[in-house]
Amino acid sequence: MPDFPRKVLGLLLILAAVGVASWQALAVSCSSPAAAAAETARQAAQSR
Amino acid sequence: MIRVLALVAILTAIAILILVVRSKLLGSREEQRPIPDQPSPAKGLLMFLLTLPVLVAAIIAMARGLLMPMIGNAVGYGLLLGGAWLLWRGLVAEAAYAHRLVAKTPWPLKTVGGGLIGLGTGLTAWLGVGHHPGIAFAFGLVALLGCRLFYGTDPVEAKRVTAASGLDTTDQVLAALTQAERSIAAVEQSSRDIRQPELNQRLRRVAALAREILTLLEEDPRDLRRARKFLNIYLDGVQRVVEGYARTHQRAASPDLDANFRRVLTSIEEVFQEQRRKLLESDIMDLDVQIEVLTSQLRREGLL
Repeated sequence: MPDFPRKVLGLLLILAAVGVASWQALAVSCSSPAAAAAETARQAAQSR
Repeated sequence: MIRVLALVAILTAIAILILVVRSKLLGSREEQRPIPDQPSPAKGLLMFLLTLPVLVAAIIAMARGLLMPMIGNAVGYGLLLGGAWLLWRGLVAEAAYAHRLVAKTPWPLKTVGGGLIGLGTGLTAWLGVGHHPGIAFAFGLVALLGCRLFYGTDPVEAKRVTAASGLDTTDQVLAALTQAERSIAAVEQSSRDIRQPELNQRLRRVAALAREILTLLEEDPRDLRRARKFLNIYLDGVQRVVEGYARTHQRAASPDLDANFRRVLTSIEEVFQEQRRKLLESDIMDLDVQIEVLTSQLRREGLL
């Protein structure tokens, strides 16, 4: 594959995977208190 | 109040991280080796910046008491940071490899870095975001493929050099060049402790001449045998003298010592210029012989 399209495709894939996963992780961490409460409840249930 | 303090702490951590990464990426002047085609810092910074939200996510998850997301994000960020760092080191190693005429195969840093990025992305998607493991695996795979395409592969072949006898002398040539580079770097380092502009300038000229000679040797390693005296005796001697002068000069100033050192530096400069001239002459002689051979061949075939 020629150099330029290869790099553009690579950059798009990096943005699609690393960028999306990073921002999703941040969004989940900042999500509503209900989600946090559910997570805490899940952890509590697991520990029981 | 607590939120404000947390925000300040996070911003401070991010600022420190950016400063550390920037200084490591660009490198201090002392550490920079003379490679003209350094990789673009933007290429290395991309991965460091792209993964910053994971660090913030880990901190927020910790503040909110979310255990699994915190672990996932923290470990994921560690892997992503390690991968980004290895990718950058791989790019620098590749630039050095491309610049050198004699070089060993560099470590597959870009491949390992890409692997870590894939692993970190997968882990973040699984534990940090909460995706199904299969989806997280796909995230990791896409990240790995992206790194492979964007950053390219590592060089796989060594740039070898063979002596006239047919022996592979790559290791010897590399060892001699590395040792010489170290000596020049030590001379440059010591010259920073000498607070005399005239001597500093002279030392800079000596270092530049030495580097020029090394480039000539690298271009034609057959000259290495002839230049061994320069590498083993003169360069080591210069290093010892300059280091010794820098040490003594700091403790006590002595006009006699300064005059002696100045004289020695003048001699060294002359010797180095002579060495460079000899190497260039040898190249010209080689070229003369090649032109002569070509001319007689063309004459024999009636083309001249």
